[in-house]
Amino acid sequence: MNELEFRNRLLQDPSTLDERMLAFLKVNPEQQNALRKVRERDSKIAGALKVQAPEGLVERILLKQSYQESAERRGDSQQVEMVTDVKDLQSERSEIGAPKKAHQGWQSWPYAFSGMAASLLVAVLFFGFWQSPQQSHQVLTGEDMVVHILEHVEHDPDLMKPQALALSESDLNKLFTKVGATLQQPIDSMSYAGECDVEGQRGLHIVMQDESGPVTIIVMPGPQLEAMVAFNESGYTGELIPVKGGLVAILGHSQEQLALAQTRFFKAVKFG
Amino acid sequence: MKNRHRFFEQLVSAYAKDLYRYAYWLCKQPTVAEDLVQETFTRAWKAIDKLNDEKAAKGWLITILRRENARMYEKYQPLLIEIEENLASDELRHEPSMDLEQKQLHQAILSLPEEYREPLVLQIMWGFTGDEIATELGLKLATVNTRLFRARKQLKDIYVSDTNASSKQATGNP
Repeated sequence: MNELEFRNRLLQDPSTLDERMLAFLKVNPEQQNALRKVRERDSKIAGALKVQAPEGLVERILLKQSYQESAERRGDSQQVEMVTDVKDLQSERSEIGAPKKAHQGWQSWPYAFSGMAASLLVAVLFFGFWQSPQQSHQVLTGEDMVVHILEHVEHDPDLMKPQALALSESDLNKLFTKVGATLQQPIDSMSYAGECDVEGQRGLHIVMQDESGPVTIIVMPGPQLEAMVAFNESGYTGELIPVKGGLVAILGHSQEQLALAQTRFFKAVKFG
Repeated sequence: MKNRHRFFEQLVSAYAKDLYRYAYWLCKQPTVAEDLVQETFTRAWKAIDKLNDEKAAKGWLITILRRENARMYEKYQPLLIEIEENLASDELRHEPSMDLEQKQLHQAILSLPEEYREPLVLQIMWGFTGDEIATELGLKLATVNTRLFRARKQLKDIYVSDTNASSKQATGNP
Protein backbone atom coordinates (compact mmCIF):
# COMPACT_ATOMS: atom_id res chain seq x y z
CA MET A 1 0.00 0.00 0.00
CA ASN A 2 1.27 3.48 -0.84
CA GLU A 3 0.15 6.86 0.44
CA LEU A 4 -2.29 7.48 -2.41
CA GLU A 5 -4.07 4.18 -1.81
CA PHE A 6 -4.13 4.81 1.94
CA ARG A 7 -5.73 8.22 1.47
CA ASN A 8 -8.23 6.88 -1.04
CA ARG A 9 -9.24 4.14 1.39
CA LEU A 10 -9.63 6.73 4.14
CA LEU A 11 -12.16 8.59 2.04
CA GLN A 12 -14.09 5.37 1.51
CA ASP A 13 -14.41 4.57 5.20
CA PRO A 14 -12.29 6.30 7.83
CA SER A 15 -13.99 4.58 10.76
CA THR A 16 -12.72 1.05 10.08
CA LEU A 17 -9.10 0.40 9.17
CA ASP A 18 -8.19 -3.06 7.94
CA GLU A 19 -4.89 -4.82 8.65
CA ARG A 20 -3.15 -3.37 5.57
CA MET A 21 -4.09 0.16 6.51
CA LEU A 22 -3.04 -0.35 10.12
CA ALA A 23 0.29 -1.75 8.95
CA PHE A 24 0.82 1.23 6.64
CA LEU A 25 -0.02 3.61 9.45
CA LYS A 26 2.48 1.92 11.74
CA VAL A 27 5.26 2.42 9.20
CA ASN A 28 4.10 5.96 8.30
CA PRO A 29 2.97 7.55 11.58
CA GLU A 30 2.80 11.00 9.95
CA GLN A 31 -0.33 9.75 8.17
CA GLN A 32 -2.13 9.85 11.54
CA ASN A 33 -2.73 13.50 10.76
CA ALA A 34 -4.61 12.66 7.55
CA LEU A 35 -6.64 10.06 9.43
CA ARG A 36 -7.50 12.58 12.15
CA LYS A 37 -8.61 15.21 9.61
CA VAL A 38 -10.88 12.81 7.70
CA ARG A 39 -12.42 11.57 10.93
CA GLU A 40 -12.99 15.14 12.11
CA ARG A 41 -14.75 15.98 8.85
CA ASP A 42 -16.86 12.83 9.16
CA SER A 43 -17.88 13.85 12.62
CA LYS A 44 -19.00 17.23 11.27
CA ILE A 45 -20.87 15.52 8.43
CA ALA A 46 -22.59 13.30 11.00
CA GLY A 47 -23.65 16.44 12.87
CA ALA A 48 -24.99 18.07 9.71
CA LEU A 49 -26.88 14.90 8.73
CA LYS A 50 -28.71 14.91 12.04
CA VAL A 51 -31.49 17.26 10.99
CA GLN A 52 -34.21 17.90 13.53
CA ALA A 53 -37.15 15.53 13.26
CA PRO A 54 -40.59 17.15 13.48
CA GLU A 55 -42.17 17.51 16.89
CA GLY A 56 -44.69 14.76 17.65
CA LEU A 57 -43.56 12.50 14.79
CA VAL A 58 -43.53 9.30 16.86
CA GLU A 59 -46.95 10.07 18.33
CA ARG A 60 -48.44 10.78 14.90
CA ILE A 61 -47.14 7.46 13.56
CA LEU A 62 -48.58 5.54 16.51
CA LEU A 63 -51.87 7.37 16.22
CA LYS A 64 -52.15 6.54 12.55
CA GLN A 65 -51.36 2.91 13.30
CA SER A 66 -54.09 2.82 15.92
CA TYR A 67 -56.59 4.25 13.42
CA GLN A 68 -55.43 1.68 10.93
CA GLU A 69 -55.81 -1.17 13.36
CA SER A 70 -59.18 0.02 14.54
CA ALA A 71 -60.39 0.16 10.93
CA GLU A 72 -58.95 -3.28 10.20
CA ARG A 73 -60.78 -4.70 13.19
CA ARG A 74 -64.03 -3.26 11.88
CA GLY A 75 -63.25 -4.37 8.37
CA ASP A 76 -63.65 -0.76 7.31
CA SER A 77 -61.09 0.04 4.70
CA GLN A 78 -62.50 3.52 4.12
CA GLN A 79 -61.14 4.75 7.41
CA VAL A 80 -57.63 3.49 6.68
CA GLU A 81 -57.70 5.25 3.35
CA MET A 82 -58.88 8.41 5.01
CA VAL A 83 -56.09 8.42 7.55
CA THR A 84 -53.56 7.88 4.81
CA ASP A 85 -55.14 10.65 2.79
CA VAL A 86 -54.57 13.19 5.55
CA LYS A 87 -50.87 12.99 4.86
CA ASP A 88 -51.29 12.58 1.12
CA LEU A 89 -53.43 15.67 0.88
CA GLN A 90 -51.21 17.55 3.22
CA SER A 91 -48.15 16.91 1.12
CA GLU A 92 -49.93 17.52 -2.16
CA ARG A 93 -51.21 20.83 -0.92
CA SER A 94 -48.14 22.16 0.76
CA GLU A 95 -45.44 20.69 -1.40
CA ILE A 96 -46.86 20.44 -4.83
CA GLY A 97 -48.73 23.69 -4.96
CA ALA A 98 -52.19 22.11 -4.83
CA PRO A 99 -52.50 20.68 -8.28
CA LYS A 100 -55.92 19.87 -9.70
CA LYS A 101 -55.93 16.40 -8.29
CA ALA A 102 -55.35 17.70 -4.80
CA HIS A 103 -58.22 20.16 -5.12
CA GLN A 104 -60.53 17.36 -6.08
CA GLY A 105 -59.35 15.47 -3.01
CA TRP A 106 -60.05 18.40 -0.73
CA GLN A 107 -63.49 18.89 -2.17
CA SER A 108 -64.36 15.31 -1.42
CA TRP A 109 -63.38 15.63 2.23
CA PRO A 110 -66.66 16.89 3.67
CA TYR A 111 -68.40 13.78 2.28
CA ALA A 112 -65.75 11.45 3.65
CA PHE A 113 -65.93 13.10 7.02
CA SER A 114 -69.68 13.17 7.35
CA GLY A 115 -69.51 9.38 7.30
CA MET A 116 -66.57 9.45 9.64
CA ALA A 117 -68.26 11.69 12.15
CA ALA A 118 -71.04 9.17 12.65
CA SER A 119 -68.64 6.39 13.42
CA LEU A 120 -66.24 8.48 15.43
CA LEU A 121 -68.44 10.59 17.62
CA VAL A 122 -65.99 10.49 20.42
CA ALA A 123 -62.93 8.71 19.12
CA VAL A 124 -60.46 9.31 21.86
CA LEU A 125 -57.43 7.22 21.27
CA PHE A 126 -54.37 6.72 23.38
CA PHE A 127 -55.61 8.40 26.50
CA GLY A 128 -52.36 8.95 28.27
CA PHE A 129 -52.21 10.30 31.77
CA TRP A 130 -50.77 13.66 32.36
CA GLN A 131 -49.89 15.56 35.43
CA SER A 132 -49.23 19.25 35.86
CA PRO A 133 -46.25 20.20 38.01
CA GLN A 134 -48.38 22.95 39.54
CA GLN A 135 -51.20 20.54 40.35
CA SER A 136 -49.25 17.50 41.33
CA HIS A 137 -52.10 16.27 43.54
CA GLN A 138 -54.43 16.11 40.56
CA VAL A 139 -54.02 13.47 37.90
CA LEU A 140 -56.10 14.17 34.82
CA THR A 141 -56.63 12.14 31.72
CA GLY A 142 -56.43 13.42 28.17
CA GLU A 143 -60.24 13.45 28.26
CA ASP A 144 -60.23 15.96 31.12
CA MET A 145 -57.84 18.13 29.18
CA VAL A 146 -60.12 18.02 26.14
CA VAL A 147 -63.05 19.23 28.27
CA HIS A 148 -61.00 22.10 29.72
CA ILE A 149 -59.78 23.22 26.33
CA LEU A 150 -63.21 23.04 24.71
CA GLU A 151 -64.65 25.16 27.52
CA HIS A 152 -61.85 27.65 27.08
CA VAL A 153 -62.26 27.92 23.32
CA GLU A 154 -65.99 28.46 23.58
CA HIS A 155 -65.52 31.11 26.28
CA ASP A 156 -64.48 33.85 23.83
CA PRO A 157 -65.87 33.20 20.32
CA ASP A 158 -64.81 36.67 19.12
CA LEU A 159 -61.21 35.45 18.96
CA MET A 160 -62.20 33.13 16.16
CA LYS A 161 -63.16 35.94 13.78
CA PRO A 162 -60.76 36.77 10.94
CA GLN A 163 -58.68 39.80 11.87
CA ALA A 164 -55.25 41.25 11.21
CA LEU A 165 -52.70 40.08 13.74
CA ALA A 166 -52.13 43.03 16.06
CA LEU A 167 -48.73 42.04 17.45
CA SER A 168 -45.19 42.93 16.53
CA GLU A 169 -42.62 40.23 15.85
CA SER A 170 -40.97 41.00 19.17
CA ASP A 171 -44.28 40.66 21.08
CA LEU A 172 -44.95 37.36 19.35
CA ASN A 173 -41.50 36.04 20.22
CA LYS A 174 -42.08 36.94 23.88
CA LEU A 175 -45.40 35.08 23.91
CA PHE A 176 -43.80 31.93 22.54
CA THR A 177 -40.82 32.16 24.88
CA LYS A 178 -43.19 32.26 27.87
CA VAL A 179 -44.52 28.81 26.95
CA GLY A 180 -41.06 27.33 26.29
CA ALA A 181 -41.25 27.59 22.52
CA THR A 182 -39.37 29.46 19.81
CA LEU A 183 -41.09 31.08 16.87
CA GLN A 184 -38.71 30.58 13.97
CA GLN A 185 -40.79 32.06 11.21
CA PRO A 186 -44.27 33.58 10.89
CA ILE A 187 -47.12 31.08 11.16
CA ASP A 188 -49.14 31.16 7.96
CA SER A 189 -52.67 32.53 8.36
CA MET A 190 -52.39 33.31 12.10
CA SER A 191 -55.07 35.87 13.03
CA TYR A 192 -54.72 35.94 16.81
CA ALA A 193 -52.13 35.13 19.46
CA GLY A 194 -52.39 35.88 23.15
CA GLU A 195 -51.87 34.53 26.63
CA CYS A 196 -54.69 32.49 28.08
CA ASP A 197 -55.76 30.72 31.21
CA VAL A 198 -57.00 27.13 31.08
CA GLU A 199 -58.09 25.99 34.54
CA GLY A 200 -55.40 28.06 36.26
CA GLN A 201 -52.68 27.12 33.76
CA ARG A 202 -51.09 29.89 31.72
CA GLY A 203 -50.94 29.02 28.07
CA LEU A 204 -50.76 30.51 24.61
CA HIS A 205 -53.92 30.81 22.52
CA ILE A 206 -53.51 31.01 18.76
CA VAL A 207 -56.15 31.22 16.04
CA MET A 208 -55.39 30.43 12.42
CA GLN A 209 -57.74 31.02 9.52
CA ASP A 210 -58.10 28.83 6.49
CA GLU A 211 -60.59 28.44 3.67
CA SER A 212 -62.93 26.32 5.76
CA GLY A 213 -62.83 28.44 8.92
CA PRO A 214 -60.81 29.10 12.05
CA VAL A 215 -58.53 26.61 13.78
CA THR A 216 -57.55 27.06 17.42
CA ILE A 217 -54.20 26.07 18.84
CA ILE A 218 -53.51 26.11 22.56
CA VAL A 219 -49.94 25.65 23.82
CA MET A 220 -49.91 24.49 27.42
CA PRO A 221 -46.57 24.29 29.21
CA GLY A 222 -46.49 21.76 32.06
CA PRO A 223 -48.98 18.96 31.38
CA GLN A 224 -47.38 15.87 29.92
CA LEU A 225 -49.18 13.34 27.77
CA GLU A 226 -47.70 9.93 27.19
CA ALA A 227 -49.00 9.89 23.65
CA MET A 228 -51.06 11.84 21.20
CA VAL A 229 -54.82 12.09 21.84
CA ALA A 230 -57.34 12.52 19.05
CA PHE A 231 -60.93 13.45 19.73
CA ASN A 232 -64.16 14.41 18.05
CA GLU A 233 -66.45 16.20 20.44
CA SER A 234 -68.96 19.08 20.62
CA GLY A 235 -68.59 19.66 16.91
CA TYR A 236 -64.82 19.92 17.14
CA THR A 237 -62.20 17.62 15.76
CA GLY A 238 -58.99 17.89 17.69
CA GLU A 239 -55.65 16.56 18.73
CA LEU A 240 -53.54 16.88 21.84
CA ILE A 241 -49.91 16.52 20.84
CA PRO A 242 -47.17 16.03 23.43
CA VAL A 243 -44.19 18.33 22.95
CA LYS A 244 -41.10 19.05 25.01
CA GLY A 245 -42.29 20.64 28.26
CA GLY A 246 -46.02 20.47 27.63
CA LEU A 247 -48.63 19.86 25.00
CA VAL A 248 -50.19 21.48 21.97
CA ALA A 249 -53.95 21.23 21.42
CA ILE A 250 -55.26 21.79 17.90
CA LEU A 251 -58.99 22.18 17.34
CA GLY A 252 -60.83 22.57 14.09
CA HIS A 253 -63.83 21.14 12.34
CA SER A 254 -62.22 18.57 10.09
CA GLN A 255 -59.13 16.40 9.80
CA GLU A 256 -58.02 18.36 6.76
CA GLN A 257 -57.96 21.56 8.81
CA LEU A 258 -55.98 19.86 11.56
CA ALA A 259 -53.46 18.42 9.14
CA LEU A 260 -52.84 21.77 7.51
CA ALA A 261 -52.72 23.69 10.80
CA GLN A 262 -50.37 21.11 12.31
CA THR A 263 -47.99 21.41 9.38
CA ARG A 264 -48.01 25.21 9.45
CA PHE A 265 -47.60 25.39 13.22
CA PHE A 266 -44.77 22.88 13.64
CA LYS A 267 -42.96 24.27 10.61
CA ALA A 268 -42.73 27.61 12.39
CA VAL A 269 -42.47 26.67 16.08
CA LYS A 270 -39.84 24.63 17.92
CA PHE A 271 -39.98 23.37 21.47
CA GLY A 272 -37.24 22.73 23.99
CA MET B 1 -44.78 -12.54 17.15
CA LYS B 2 -45.85 -12.44 20.79
CA ASN B 3 -46.62 -8.78 21.16
CA ARG B 4 -46.73 -7.06 17.82
CA HIS B 5 -48.00 -3.78 19.34
CA ARG B 6 -45.11 -3.45 21.70
CA PHE B 7 -42.64 -4.48 19.02
CA PHE B 8 -44.11 -1.95 16.61
CA GLU B 9 -43.91 0.80 19.23
CA GLN B 10 -40.30 -0.13 19.88
CA LEU B 11 -39.54 0.10 16.17
CA VAL B 12 -41.19 3.49 15.91
CA SER B 13 -39.41 4.83 18.99
CA ALA B 14 -36.05 3.48 17.88
CA TYR B 15 -36.09 4.36 14.20
CA ALA B 16 -38.71 7.02 13.35
CA LYS B 17 -36.41 10.01 13.79
CA ASP B 18 -33.47 8.48 11.95
CA LEU B 19 -35.79 7.29 9.19
CA TYR B 20 -37.10 10.84 8.93
CA ARG B 21 -33.52 12.10 8.58
CA TYR B 22 -32.77 9.46 5.96
CA ALA B 23 -35.95 10.40 4.08
CA TYR B 24 -35.07 14.06 4.31
CA TRP B 25 -31.69 13.47 2.67
CA LEU B 26 -33.36 11.34 0.01
CA CYS B 27 -36.13 13.74 -0.98
CA LYS B 28 -34.78 17.02 0.47
CA GLN B 29 -38.26 18.11 1.57
CA PRO B 30 -39.29 17.99 5.23
CA THR B 31 -43.01 17.45 4.66
CA VAL B 32 -42.50 14.79 2.02
CA ALA B 33 -39.94 13.17 4.34
CA GLU B 34 -42.56 12.85 7.06
CA ASP B 35 -45.05 11.42 4.55
CA LEU B 36 -42.46 8.84 3.60
CA VAL B 37 -41.86 7.85 7.20
CA GLN B 38 -45.59 7.63 7.91
CA GLU B 39 -46.12 5.46 4.86
CA THR B 40 -43.12 3.32 5.74
CA PHE B 41 -44.54 2.53 9.16
CA THR B 42 -48.04 1.97 7.74
CA ARG B 43 -46.59 -0.70 5.48
CA ALA B 44 -44.34 -2.01 8.24
CA TRP B 45 -47.35 -2.51 10.52
CA LYS B 46 -49.23 -4.42 7.83
CA ALA B 47 -46.26 -6.73 7.27
CA ILE B 48 -44.84 -6.85 10.77
CA ASP B 49 -45.56 -10.56 11.18
CA LYS B 50 -43.27 -11.25 8.24
CA LEU B 51 -40.29 -9.75 10.03
CA ASN B 52 -38.79 -12.93 11.44
CA ASP B 53 -35.44 -11.60 12.52
CA GLU B 54 -35.79 -8.53 14.71
CA LYS B 55 -32.14 -7.67 14.10
CA ALA B 56 -33.00 -7.16 10.45
CA ALA B 57 -35.55 -4.47 11.28
CA LYS B 58 -33.24 -1.58 10.44
CA GLY B 59 -32.52 -2.76 6.89
CA TRP B 60 -36.14 -3.82 6.45
CA LEU B 61 -37.44 -0.34 7.28
CA ILE B 62 -34.85 1.31 5.05
CA THR B 63 -35.90 -0.94 2.17
CA ILE B 64 -39.57 -0.07 2.65
CA LEU B 65 -38.76 3.62 2.80
CA ARG B 66 -36.63 3.53 -0.35
CA ARG B 67 -39.46 1.79 -2.23
CA GLU B 68 -41.94 4.38 -1.02
CA ASN B 69 -39.61 7.16 -2.07
CA ALA B 70 -39.25 5.67 -5.54
CA ARG B 71 -43.02 5.27 -5.78
CA MET B 72 -43.69 8.84 -4.67
CA TYR B 73 -40.96 10.24 -6.89
CA GLU B 74 -42.39 8.45 -9.89
CA LYS B 75 -45.86 9.76 -9.07
CA TYR B 76 -44.94 13.42 -8.60
CA GLN B 77 -41.60 13.66 -10.43
CA PRO B 78 -41.98 16.90 -12.44
CA LEU B 79 -43.42 18.88 -9.54
CA LEU B 80 -40.94 17.56 -7.00
CA ILE B 81 -37.96 18.37 -9.18
CA GLU B 82 -39.25 21.90 -9.68
CA ILE B 83 -39.48 22.78 -6.02
CA GLU B 84 -36.97 20.59 -4.23
CA GLU B 85 -33.87 22.78 -4.19
CA ASN B 86 -35.60 25.97 -3.16
CA LEU B 87 -37.63 24.31 -0.47
CA ALA B 88 -34.65 22.65 1.21
CA SER B 89 -32.72 25.94 1.24
CA ASP B 90 -35.75 27.76 2.53
CA GLU B 91 -36.10 25.36 5.47
CA LEU B 92 -32.49 25.98 6.38
CA ARG B 93 -32.96 29.73 6.69
CA HIS B 94 -35.16 29.10 9.70
CA GLU B 95 -32.77 26.80 11.54
CA PRO B 96 -31.12 29.16 14.03
CA SER B 97 -29.56 26.32 16.01
CA MET B 98 -27.09 25.70 13.15
CA ASP B 99 -23.93 27.75 12.90
CA LEU B 100 -22.54 28.99 9.58
CA GLU B 101 -20.21 26.04 9.17
CA GLN B 102 -23.04 23.55 9.73
CA LYS B 103 -25.25 25.40 7.27
CA GLN B 104 -22.51 25.34 4.62
CA LEU B 105 -22.00 21.65 5.20
CA HIS B 106 -25.74 21.04 5.09
CA GLN B 107 -25.94 22.80 1.72
CA ALA B 108 -22.89 20.93 0.49
CA ILE B 109 -24.50 17.59 1.36
CA LEU B 110 -27.72 18.67 -0.36
CA SER B 111 -25.75 19.56 -3.47
CA LEU B 112 -24.15 16.10 -3.71
CA PRO B 113 -25.57 13.86 -6.43
CA GLU B 114 -28.09 11.48 -4.88
CA GLU B 115 -26.01 8.46 -5.87
CA TYR B 116 -23.17 9.78 -3.69
CA ARG B 117 -25.29 11.17 -0.88
CA GLU B 118 -27.30 8.03 -0.17
CA PRO B 119 -24.40 5.64 0.57
CA LEU B 120 -22.77 8.33 2.67
CA VAL B 121 -25.91 8.70 4.79
CA LEU B 122 -26.22 4.94 5.17
CA GLN B 123 -22.61 4.68 6.28
CA ILE B 124 -22.30 7.67 8.57
CA MET B 125 -25.78 7.91 10.03
CA TRP B 126 -26.90 4.29 10.02
CA GLY B 127 -23.50 2.63 10.49
CA PHE B 128 -23.91 0.34 7.47
CA THR B 129 -20.79 -1.44 6.23
CA GLY B 130 -19.77 -1.26 2.58
CA ASP B 131 -21.25 -4.74 2.00
CA GLU B 132 -24.53 -3.80 3.66
CA ILE B 133 -24.80 -0.65 1.56
CA ALA B 134 -24.05 -2.66 -1.57
CA THR B 135 -26.83 -5.11 -0.71
CA GLU B 136 -29.33 -2.39 0.16
CA LEU B 137 -28.66 -0.36 -2.97
CA GLY B 138 -28.14 -3.34 -5.26
CA LEU B 139 -24.63 -2.28 -6.20
CA LYS B 140 -21.21 -3.89 -6.28
CA LEU B 141 -18.97 -3.18 -3.30
CA ALA B 142 -16.42 -1.49 -5.57
CA THR B 143 -19.10 0.89 -6.85
CA VAL B 144 -20.17 1.72 -3.31
CA ASN B 145 -16.56 2.45 -2.33
CA THR B 146 -16.08 4.69 -5.36
CA ARG B 147 -19.24 6.62 -4.52
CA LEU B 148 -18.24 7.01 -0.88
CA PHE B 149 -14.82 8.24 -1.98
CA ARG B 150 -16.33 10.75 -4.38
CA ALA B 151 -18.89 11.95 -1.85
CA ARG B 152 -16.22 12.72 0.74
CA LYS B 153 -13.90 14.19 -1.88
CA GLN B 154 -16.61 16.55 -3.14
CA LEU B 155 -17.57 17.58 0.37
CA LYS B 156 -13.92 18.18 1.21
CA ASP B 157 -13.48 20.38 -1.87
CA ILE B 158 -16.67 22.36 -1.22
CA TYR B 159 -15.85 22.60 2.46
CA VAL B 160 -12.30 23.87 1.84
CA SER B 161 -13.45 26.42 -0.73
CA ASP B 162 -16.26 27.65 1.58
CA THR B 163 -13.89 27.90 4.53
CA ASN B 164 -11.41 29.92 2.45
CA ALA B 165 -14.18 32.22 1.24
CA SER B 166 -15.41 32.76 4.82
CA SER B 167 -11.87 33.54 6.04
CA LYS B 168 -11.37 36.08 3.25
CA GLN B 169 -14.70 37.68 4.10
CA ALA B 170 -13.79 37.85 7.79
CA THR B 171 -10.41 39.48 7.11
CA GLY B 172 -11.78 41.74 4.40
CA ASN B 173 -9.37 40.37 1.81
CA PRO B 174 -10.67 39.98 -1.73
